[in-house]
Amino acid sequence: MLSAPQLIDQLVNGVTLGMLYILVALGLNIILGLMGVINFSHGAFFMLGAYLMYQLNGAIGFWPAILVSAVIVGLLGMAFESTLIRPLYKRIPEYTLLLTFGTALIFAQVVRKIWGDDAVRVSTPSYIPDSMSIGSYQVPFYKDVLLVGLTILILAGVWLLLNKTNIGLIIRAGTRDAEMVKILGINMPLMFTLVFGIGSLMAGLAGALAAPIYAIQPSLASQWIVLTFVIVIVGGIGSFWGAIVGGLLIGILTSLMALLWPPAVEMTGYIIMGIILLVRPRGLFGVEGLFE
Amino acid sequence: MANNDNGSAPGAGYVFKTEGLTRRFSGFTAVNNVTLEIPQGGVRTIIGPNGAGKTTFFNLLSGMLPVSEGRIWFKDREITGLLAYQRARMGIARSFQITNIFGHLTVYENVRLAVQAVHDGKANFFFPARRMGDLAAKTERVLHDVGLYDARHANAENLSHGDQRRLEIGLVIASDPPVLLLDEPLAGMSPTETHETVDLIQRISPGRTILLVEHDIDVVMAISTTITVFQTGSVLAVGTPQEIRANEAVQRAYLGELA
Amino acid sequence: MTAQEAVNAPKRNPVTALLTHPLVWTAVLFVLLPYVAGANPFAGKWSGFVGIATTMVIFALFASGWNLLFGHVGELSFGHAMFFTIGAYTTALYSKGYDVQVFGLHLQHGQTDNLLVALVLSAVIAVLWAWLLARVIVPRSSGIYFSMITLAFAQVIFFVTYRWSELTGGEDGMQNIARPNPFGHGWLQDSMNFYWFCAVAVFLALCVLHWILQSPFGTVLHAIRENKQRARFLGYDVDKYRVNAFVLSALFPAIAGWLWTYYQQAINPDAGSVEYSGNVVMMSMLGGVQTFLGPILGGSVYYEIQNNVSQLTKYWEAWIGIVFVVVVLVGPRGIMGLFNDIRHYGFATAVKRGFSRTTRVETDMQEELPPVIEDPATAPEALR
Repeated sequence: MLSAPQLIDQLVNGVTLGMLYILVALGLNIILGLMGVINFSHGAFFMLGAYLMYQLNGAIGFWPAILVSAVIVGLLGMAFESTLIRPLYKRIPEYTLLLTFGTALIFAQVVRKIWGDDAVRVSTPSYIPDSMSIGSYQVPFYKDVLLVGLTILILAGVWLLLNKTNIGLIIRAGTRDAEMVKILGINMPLMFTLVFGIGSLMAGLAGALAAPIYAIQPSLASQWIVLTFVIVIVGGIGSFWGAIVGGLLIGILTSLMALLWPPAVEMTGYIIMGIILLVRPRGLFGVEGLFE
Repeated sequence: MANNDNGSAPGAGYVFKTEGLTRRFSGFTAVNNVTLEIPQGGVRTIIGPNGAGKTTFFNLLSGMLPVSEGRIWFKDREITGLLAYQRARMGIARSFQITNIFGHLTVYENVRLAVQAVHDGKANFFFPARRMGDLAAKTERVLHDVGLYDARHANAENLSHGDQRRLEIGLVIASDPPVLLLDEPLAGMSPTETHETVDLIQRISPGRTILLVEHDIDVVMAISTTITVFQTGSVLAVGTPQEIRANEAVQRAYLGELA
Repeated sequence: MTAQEAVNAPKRNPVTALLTHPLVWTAVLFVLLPYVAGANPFAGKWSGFVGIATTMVIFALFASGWNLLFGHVGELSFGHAMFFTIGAYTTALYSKGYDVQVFGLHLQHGQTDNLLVALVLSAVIAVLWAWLLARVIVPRSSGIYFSMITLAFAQVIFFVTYRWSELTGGEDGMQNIARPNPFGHGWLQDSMNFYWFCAVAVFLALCVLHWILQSPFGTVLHAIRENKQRARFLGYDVDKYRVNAFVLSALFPAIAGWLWTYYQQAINPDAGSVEYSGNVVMMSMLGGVQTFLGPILGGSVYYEIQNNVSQLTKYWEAWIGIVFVVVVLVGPRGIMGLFNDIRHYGFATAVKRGFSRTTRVETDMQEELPPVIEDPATAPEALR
């Protein structure tokens, strides 16, 4: 039988997982919402964030490494968009999906070449305590407290960006109004590159933050891209709150499933996705008719 | 208030009837409580300033948009809930303001598809050989009707604008529909092309009802059996070209454009 | 260019028609493959490998089935390996037998040697799954949303094969699956014999596919790819066509899976992985998605590259990725597209125009010659 501590453990674990999912999914959603394209390499950016964190941790310290890793991935995203994705805007969006699939493959191999096939690990610096007491429970500090807290702050920052800035306004206006926005004299190509950079940075940041709690290996890329797709479908394309609710929902339920029926752990997300598709195909917070 | 067109023979049925037809877009009402009957036969034109709701009205009739409120009948059948392809199969053919053809297929293939649709809307691999002959004959007849027979092997995307518009009309008449909805068929045409297309429309109109949205007032006055004037989502006036020209309300709305 | 300048199509003589028929070329390719597949004169390997050739024809069928959906309807599925793996596992389970408990029900089946029944079962189950999926997905999604969903559902099948170890052998899969013996004397045990068996089976399946594509059904699919809205307004029930196309596109990978299990005499969850789904996507793009021969040729080229490059570096996947990215960016019509361009416009013009346009539906080499365009530079570009 399940005990309360086990349950709470998994619940909190699920929240952590959920927060990471949210960060990555939100990154994809921002890009998808404005530009209508999907970056299949988004999971690879997550993976790169983790690997860069591993590489830089020893050199420049824990927190700087996280920051720098995220920024590098963001810049990489911008370079990626302006060279490889921009030529494809004239074509149907399937081509971007195809291209970024190919680049995901390449990224995975590059990572293999540089860091090898075996998983690498990052440990948290000694000044971060291993666990913290909340009432009578011992809670892993970095994973369940620090990471969650940081992600909440980051999400608050993203919310401010989306709702209180001009860039945010443009992002929220979305693809539908891209024409209008262009008429207002805003440099759309630059906007696209910037937004792609922001979305990619979020993936890289999530990867860097997750580095201490995951085994870092090339397969992270494909694992995370599929998960991200599921969250985006469940939450609704381009939706801020969709990413949040979708990410938490899937994170928590997946964690709980590990207790209830371990063989079905991976399936949890897909089951939820299947239900959503049957009952509300646009996603929990999605906009009607966006893709049909 | 129901308006009856009075350009039709007594006792003739209507081709479209709407009741309280309304369409809203997030707070903006494009078509506002329109109740009217469009009688069978002839060329019935809808005019009105931009934003008057003409194309939205078309979209409601053809099934491209669902109604917010109200009902629509096609002859005796209510079609309010029917999807676009179902209405097309009932004989309501629609052309588009922005040329909407199969660009990467040839002219012949474009028309063939339109002809085939009537015979077979079901997913059909097994197609009786004799039907193929029928289809080919029909396709060629349509090509001749719109004057594109010589160009039949050209890719549709390579045609001139005027020829593409003619192909659009070809697609629309290929299924031999009793009703044609033509959305600004003369848009962007040169005077020669306009003349040719107007001829074409008049040639194909016997035995059908043509519902037309157009801006070219001279053409509208020349070929219309009746004109319906839309303004801000409602019907302002209905009548023959002479009646509309003399209508004060319309004159005010158009500020002498019809003179 | 106005209508008046277009040229009427010249009559094709039957000999040319035969010589340029894609099925004829498929047959020629299949006959040559065992002698050239994997050959690498630079490495001193002058003869082909039957095993590689077998893989190539099996994946030619898999890719062709996928391409029915993308090249001919315009819908990109990233999850078609699920049909492949369903076919493969059904065959494996039917042939080797199983003994499991499901919700208290005891299901059991012994070893069987009947390859036709295995084929029928594989096809039926795959088609059933495809039909269920299509009913849910197709009316509710299109475009990249559709693509994402197909990827996700493929993962469901993947994890079933991975996690239901009692039935499927889990991560390790199943081994020691006997090849059937329909002709007696263990005829299929010999690799070359088995190759010919596969080649004939695949060829027949491709004939069926070709017939479907050339039928009025196929024409409507092309119309849907070009302009879905227009097809609707002509009276076509577009969603019904899409569902049917999706189901058909599942049939061929299932047959390929059936062959795959017998070829390897083993099966593991890889067959349903994202990698396998992605591989057929790459193969088809490489070969040319809007042609019939494209996926077939692409399958051969893909494995040829893999075979040769993997001997030089263990990061051969990166090279395939690079080739694929280049194809997507610069030559999305693939090898066959380039070939057709050269055939119609000459090498110089083909290069000058660049092959970054996706032009009309290719009925392969049987394509009627499009009108002669005097100066390609002034011809309207259709950037797609």
